[in-house]
This record gives sequence, structure tokens and C-alpha cells, in this order.
Amino acid sequence: MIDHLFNGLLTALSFDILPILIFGVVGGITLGAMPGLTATMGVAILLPFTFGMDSTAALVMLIGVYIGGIYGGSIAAILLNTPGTPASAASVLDGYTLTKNGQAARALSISAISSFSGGFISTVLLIMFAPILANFALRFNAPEYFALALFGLTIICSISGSNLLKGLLAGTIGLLVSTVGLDPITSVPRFTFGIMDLYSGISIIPVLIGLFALSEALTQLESIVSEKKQALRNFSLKMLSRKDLKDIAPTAIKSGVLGTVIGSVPGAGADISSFVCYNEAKRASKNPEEFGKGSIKGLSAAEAGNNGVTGGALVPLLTLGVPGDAVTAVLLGALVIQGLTPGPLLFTHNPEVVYNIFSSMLVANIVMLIVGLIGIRFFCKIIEIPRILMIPIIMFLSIIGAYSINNSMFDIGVAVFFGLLGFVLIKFRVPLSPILIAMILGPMAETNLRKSLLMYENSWSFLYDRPIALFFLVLTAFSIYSAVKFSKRKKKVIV
Amino acid sequence: MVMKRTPSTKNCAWGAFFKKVTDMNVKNIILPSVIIVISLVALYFISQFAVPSFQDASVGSKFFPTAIAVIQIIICVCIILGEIFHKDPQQDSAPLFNKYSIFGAVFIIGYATAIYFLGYLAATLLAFFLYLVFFKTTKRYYYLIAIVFTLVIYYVFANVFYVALPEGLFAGLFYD
Repeated sequence: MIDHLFNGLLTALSFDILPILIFGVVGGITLGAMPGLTATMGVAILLPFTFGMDSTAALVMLIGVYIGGIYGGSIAAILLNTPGTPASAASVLDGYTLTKNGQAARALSISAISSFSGGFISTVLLIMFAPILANFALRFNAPEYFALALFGLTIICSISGSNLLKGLLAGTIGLLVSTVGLDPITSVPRFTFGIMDLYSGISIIPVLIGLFALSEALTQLESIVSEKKQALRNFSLKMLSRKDLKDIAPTAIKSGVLGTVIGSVPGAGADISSFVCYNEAKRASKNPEEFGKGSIKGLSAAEAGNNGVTGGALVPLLTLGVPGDAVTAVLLGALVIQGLTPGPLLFTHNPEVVYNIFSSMLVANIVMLIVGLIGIRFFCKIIEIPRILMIPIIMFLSIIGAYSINNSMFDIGVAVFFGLLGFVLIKFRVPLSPILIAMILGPMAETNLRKSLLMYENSWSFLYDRPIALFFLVLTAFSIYSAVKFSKRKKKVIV
Repeated sequence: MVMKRTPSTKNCAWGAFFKKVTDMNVKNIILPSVIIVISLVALYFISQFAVPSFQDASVGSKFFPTAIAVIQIIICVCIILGEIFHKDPQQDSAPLFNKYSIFGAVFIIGYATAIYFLGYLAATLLAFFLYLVFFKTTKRYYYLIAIVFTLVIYYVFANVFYVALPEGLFAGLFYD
């Protein structure tokens, strides 16, 4: 393990890879800093740029975009009172108050250091625990994978927010789309209508480009004319002091650990983590009344919490092949494009890839810290880039990206169709992430259910005969129960 | 003396139900209704799937899509009933789309079609310029950015990633 990690660090710091990593981090921060553009969208847009790269370079760049994107969201939150990504919504509470007091540089430097702390701790924990979980997952067979996929599908319940039914509806749309193509066991054509391009099923990449890039671009376009240009407040360039660093250190470390644990739970993303960490820091504070009024501990907790998710979210993706949220679902697509199958076998068949990912995450966090501290003045300019120019660029990149996977015009059609579908669904307040997660987990559930039935000669006893499968089924039931309860409670709060 | 007629309980219940139906926001039932229709069409196509003669498993190729379509219909019915009996507190009466979103949708479809006929370079330049004209952009450097962006992307994909961007149907005619 140490050898692989050391080699991975050498690769991440090599002249071939480091510039790509820096490009990814800066690209992620830039996209994340623009209000409305999320880390998921950033990874989706830049994904096509990785098709021509080798697997290490491609994954390193996307990891950089992911980590940079989550941090970048805090820049707009702190400077404009507008979270760049949902993950940085909690940073607005104290970050913008500091900006109003002329301490924007201090707030941005606290944000950079806390994000680094969260991301770095999270990666270290990922390195420690992921191989153990992957080793355990080597015992899985078809029934366990079916139960795991079923449990994974319950993520849909937890990412549906207050409207559970609409989330489930989105999930069924994704599941139905995933059945297009040849049946995985008997090769019977399903919903192919004689169209050759449909025989191999609908590729995930054009779907995710459509859902997360094109539909978002359309949503942004709608509000572009009505938006008022927000002027940046004047602020001093004085960064955080040594005393500030001492004050935030315990909060940042604690939130980093908490964020990792939350991130490793499928369905709990960076937005949930930042609020949970913020509330925990407030609860544990001797001066909770300062929170929301420019508390540096509040800002630090939110930032370390959301970046803490970056490592945690990769635990289920790399060890079990189950994406925990939308951005890891996009990363799963990137792995598949590179011919890699996420899951326990990745650790035995391609350990160098896994440890390259781990090492590049460590380096990406360091790059993010350096870029974040040096580039404060520069990033203030990013949020002033006119969105009227960014939107067509996102649209063109999305369509070209969809085309370049297979040099196929059909994929452009798929991206456009899902872009428009995603836009309509956003209008009806239907969440989009469940579509993608269901598209990934649907075939896994179907194939393994049918394999299990063949193994057990059409008996369903594998559901209770096998302890690990039973464990996942119990988790599934618990997950559904808690999601329904959470949804009801959230609805009551809204009413 | 005039006897006052009181409506029966049954009539009251129906009256209340119809009042709820007429009060509800129609746009919130459009989507589930459309999806029910799509699910029914899907169920029809599922019934047409071929059945392999060698299959001896209890769960065949029809099982999963059928289960999903049926669950989808049930969810949609629940959404519609939920809309009737528990009005969504977040609902608004604003129109679903404005002229910019309709422009965006037409723009994307138009660009995808243009790229097929004209190829990447011509379609992207044309689309970018049309977009800037639609938004009445007068800043010249925006047009310059459009040209630079189009060319840089073409260069990067062709020479760095070795991905040939579409040449277009018309280019094929010229080469022939």
C-alpha cells in the first residue's frame, strides 16, 4: 500500500500530471465560483476533455475539478451572498457578514484553509479505510450485489428532499431508460425500435451532460436578463492571523472528520454535510450567539464540512461501485470511459489507478490551498465574468463533449433530449440526480437479481439465506423508513 | 313554510372533491399525466418483446421494465391525488417558460441540427453570433471571444485530443 501511494505521489507531482491537476483545480474553482454552476456541472463539462487522455491524467483532472469546484462555491457565497454551489449555502451565513465588515480576504483565506483541512483529512481517512472495505466487498456475489444495488437505489429517497414522490418518479425514469438496449441475460432487444444506436443502450455520458450541463445552462439563460449586476464591496487584502488559525483549527479538523463520515453515507452530499458541521460547531461553541454574525468558526465548520465530503463520497464509489451522489455518479462515468470498473476488483486489478486517485486528491488539496490563498484577488474577478458569455460556451462544450465520446451524432441527440427533459423536470421541481443514479444502479440490480435467480434455481431464498445480502436489505428498509420520516418532517417545516 | 333542502352527505363529499379538482393548479398534474401515458405506451411495447424459447428463469426480459412502468404509474397517480388533497404550499402561478428559455431550447436544437449539416466550425460561429445578436450585444470583444473560442476548441480537439469534430454533411458533398 505504501509503495503504491508513494508511486502515486510521484505520478501526481510529475511534470506530465501536475499541470493537468493544477488546470483541473483552477477550472473547478472558476466554475464553482460562478453562481449557479455546480461542481457536478464542472465535472460534466470538462469530462469530454479527458477522452483523449490516459486514465491517470483524466482522473487526476476530474478529481481536481471536483475538489476545486466544491471550494470555488464559497467564493461567490462569501463575496456576493450568493452560494456558487448548494454545498456552500452555509458559508453565506458568516462569510458574507465578514465581507460586509471589510474582511473578505480574511474570510476567503479561512475558507481556503478550512476547505484544505476538510479535504485533506477526508482523503487520509479514505486511504485508510477504503482498502479494508474493498477487501470485505471481495466476498460479494450476485445476491449481495443485487441487495447492494437495491440499497444504493434508496439514495434516491434521501436526495429527493421534501418531495419524495417526485424523486422516486425521477428514479423510475432513470430505471426505464436503463432498460433500453439488449437485455443483459438473454439479449432480447428492448425499446430499440430497430434503431441500431439503441441496441447498445443509452450511454450515460450524453445523459449526464444533458441533465447537468445543458439543462442548467437553460435555467441560467432564463434568469440572465432579470439578474442585477452585484457590485463587489471594497475590502482589505489582510488575510487570517495566526490567532485565527489557532481558533479555527479544532473546528476545521472536527468538521473534516464529520464531513468524511457524512460523505461516505450514500445520498448525503456536501450541502447536508456543511449544514450538519455548522450546527455541530454552533452547538459545541461557548459563544453560539456569534454564529451567523461573522463567526470564523462557523465559516470554517461549513467549509471543512463540505470539502470533507470529497474523500468520503469516493468510499462507496471506489469500493462498492455505488455512487453516493450526482458528482460521484459523473466520476463513475469517467472511470467507465477509461475502461475501469469501480468496485472491489479495482483494488486488486488496478491498484495503481486507485492509489493515483488517492495521491492526486492529496496533491489537489494542497494545490487548492495554494491557489486559493494566492489567487484571492484573481477569483474576485472570476465572479464578474458575464454569464451571457458563459452560457453559450457551456452549451457548445456540452454538445461537442457528447459527440466526442463515440464521434456519434446520435449522442448529440441524446444530450439535447435529456437537456430539454432535465429543464422541464426542473420546472416541475423534479430532482435530476435520481435519474442518473437509477441509470447506473438499475442494470446492476436487474442483472444480479436474474443471476441470483439462476444460481438459486428460481428460488428467492437468496434474499434471506445470505447474511450480507440480508444486511443490505435491512439497511434498505431502514433507509426508506428514515427517508419517508425525514420527508414528512421537512414538509411540516415548509407548511 | 319553506322546507330548506340539505344536500346529502354523499353529494357534499363529491362537491368538495370537485371543488378541490377545480381549485388545484393544473400545471402540477400535467407532468404525471404525461408520464402515465408514456408508461402505458411502454407497457404496450413491453408486451411485444420477444420471448426466447430457451429461457427457463422465472424472471425474464419483460419483468424489470414492466415493474418499473407499473411503479411509475402508481407514483404518478399518488402525485395527482396528493395534488388534489394536499395542495403543494410551494406552488406558484408563474408561467413555466419565458421567451429566453424557449429561445434557449430552440437554440440548442438548432445548433445540434446545424452541426450535422454545416459541421462544427460553421455551426458554432453562426450559433454564437446569432446568440449575441439575440441578446443585442454591442460589445465587439464578445464577438472576438466567440471566434477565438470556436477556433481554440477546434484546435484543442483536433491536435491535442485527436478527436475529429463533425465536418458536416455539406463538407462531405464538396469533398466528393
